Amino acid sequence: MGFNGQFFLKIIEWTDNMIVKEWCMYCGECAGVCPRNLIEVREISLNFNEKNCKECEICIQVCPVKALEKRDD
Amino acid sequence: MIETDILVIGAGPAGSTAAKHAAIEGASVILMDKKSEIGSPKRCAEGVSKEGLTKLGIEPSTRWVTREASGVRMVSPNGTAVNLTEDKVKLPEAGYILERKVFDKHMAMDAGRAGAKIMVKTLATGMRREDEQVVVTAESMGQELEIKAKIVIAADGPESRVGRWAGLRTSLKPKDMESCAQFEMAGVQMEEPDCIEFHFGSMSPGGYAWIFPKGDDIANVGLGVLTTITDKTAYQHLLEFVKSNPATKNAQPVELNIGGDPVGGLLKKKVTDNVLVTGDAAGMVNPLTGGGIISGMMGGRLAGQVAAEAVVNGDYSKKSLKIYEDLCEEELGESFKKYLKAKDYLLSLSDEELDKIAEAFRDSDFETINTAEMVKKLVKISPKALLKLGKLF
Ligand SMILES: Cc1cc2nc3c(=O)[nH]c(=O)nc-3n(C[C@H](O)[C@H](O)[C@H](O)COP(=O)(O)OP(=O)(O)OC[C@H]3O[C@@H](n4cnc5c(N)ncnc54)[C@H](O)[C@@H]3O)c2cc1C
Ligand code: SF4
Ligand code: SF4
Repeated sequence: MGFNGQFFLKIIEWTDNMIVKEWCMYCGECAGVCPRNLIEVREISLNFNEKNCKECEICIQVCPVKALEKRDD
Repeated sequence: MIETDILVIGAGPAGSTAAKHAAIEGASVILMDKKSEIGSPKRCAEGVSKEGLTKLGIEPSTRWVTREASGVRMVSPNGTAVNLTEDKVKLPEAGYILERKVFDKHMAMDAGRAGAKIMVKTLATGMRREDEQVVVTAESMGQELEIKAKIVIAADGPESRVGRWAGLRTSLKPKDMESCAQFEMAGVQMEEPDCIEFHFGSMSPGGYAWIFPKGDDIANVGLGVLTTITDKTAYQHLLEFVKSNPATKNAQPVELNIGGDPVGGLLKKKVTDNVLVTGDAAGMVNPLTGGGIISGMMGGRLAGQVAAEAVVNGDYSKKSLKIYEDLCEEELGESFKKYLKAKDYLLSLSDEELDKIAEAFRDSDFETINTAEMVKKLVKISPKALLKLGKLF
């Protein structure tokens, strides 16, 4: 179970790894560059389909107000 | 299940124009937007050319034109300005400064008047194919909906998710997406309040800053950067620009706008079976200026017309929609290629080079100088212009 268990854990961690800051303005720029089309921009919330995320962090990079963060632990 | 001939996703300028023209051609049309108020928040400096509106057959209205701006003022890093006026040169985004929140609503109203059904606060969440048609899933006020359409027009702006659901590659690399931030401000003291102003140089890496006047002392003050070449956010660059610019340092913001502007040029593949992509989602933005209102509406009109004709012919295949790509190429593609070159050249210039060029051109009489003389003059100061712009002239 060892290896599989670790692998599984890693995915679980990642599924809530994207932190959307309270000052996000839902402009959708992050969604436009996500190569996997994982970011759903609602009128006043953001949904990540994180289980397919490849951690490229492009979404974090382009945000005009740095409203995305990756939990780093 | 709701059924319609054509479903347009996104009621920005491109989507509303597509819906209007599809309805005019007789198709049954639904236009949906996730926003509760079409046009708001704005993500735009609001400049359009008069010529563009005329081409689209749209009468300017005092409800949505805030002021005319007949010239362009280009400012180099050390503050040297070159002024161009409309009567002397053709200027892409100079003409009117709009109130987008009102303009976008009016474009949607026109679509409604032409016969389109409009659904606000309705978010498209996915798409699947069924019996040679498309079923779009959506959410509106807590309700799950399914809409079956013969053709979907994806006009969902820079997010461009809808086209990708259909298998088109509409996502952009960060080097092709300007990251923008803008304040609408009062107390702006412009030197030439009849001009839209562009500021070039390292204060806005990979893009430029702008001041677009909206009447009295009001203006949109913003900038776009490429996040591939700066560590600061667009917002941080904006704060610095506002503080250091003589026109804005005493002005106060009443609105903050942010957003992405796709400046990589026209998307090549804009259609597949049952689906057309238009507006920002298809890269219909002037790669040099970042302006996408007029070009998006041009593309939207073509999308609406082609889709309506496909409905009449009963053929929604990629092959039947392909003509849309050729028409867009004709209408926008050629000029975009030139603008893309000009942008590459502009972005290759250092602050010193920009200052030198501005210095050389600031007293030019653009009415009498012809293109050949202008190029000669430019190449003298900036030899690489020959290489980078060569084929442009
Ligand atoms: C800071 C900035 C300044 C600019 N300045 C200018 C300028 O001065 N002049 C100019 O011509 N252009 C300018 N542009 C570009 C211009 O704003 C765009 O090109 C234009 O808005 C594109 O129109 P559109 O209809 O394609 O998309 P949008 O106007 O972005 O409309 C897309 C619509 O789709 C909706 N939508 C998205 N996803 C969904 C979904 N899943 N379900 C339902 N609805 C959805 C959105 O809510 C939105 O209303 C600027 C852009 C920026 C970012
Ligand atoms: S780019 Fe930033 S502000 Fe815009 S929707 Fe994404 S996280 Fe929010
Ligand atoms: S990290 Fe990459 S794959 Fe994951 S959501 Fe952001 S852009 Fe998409």
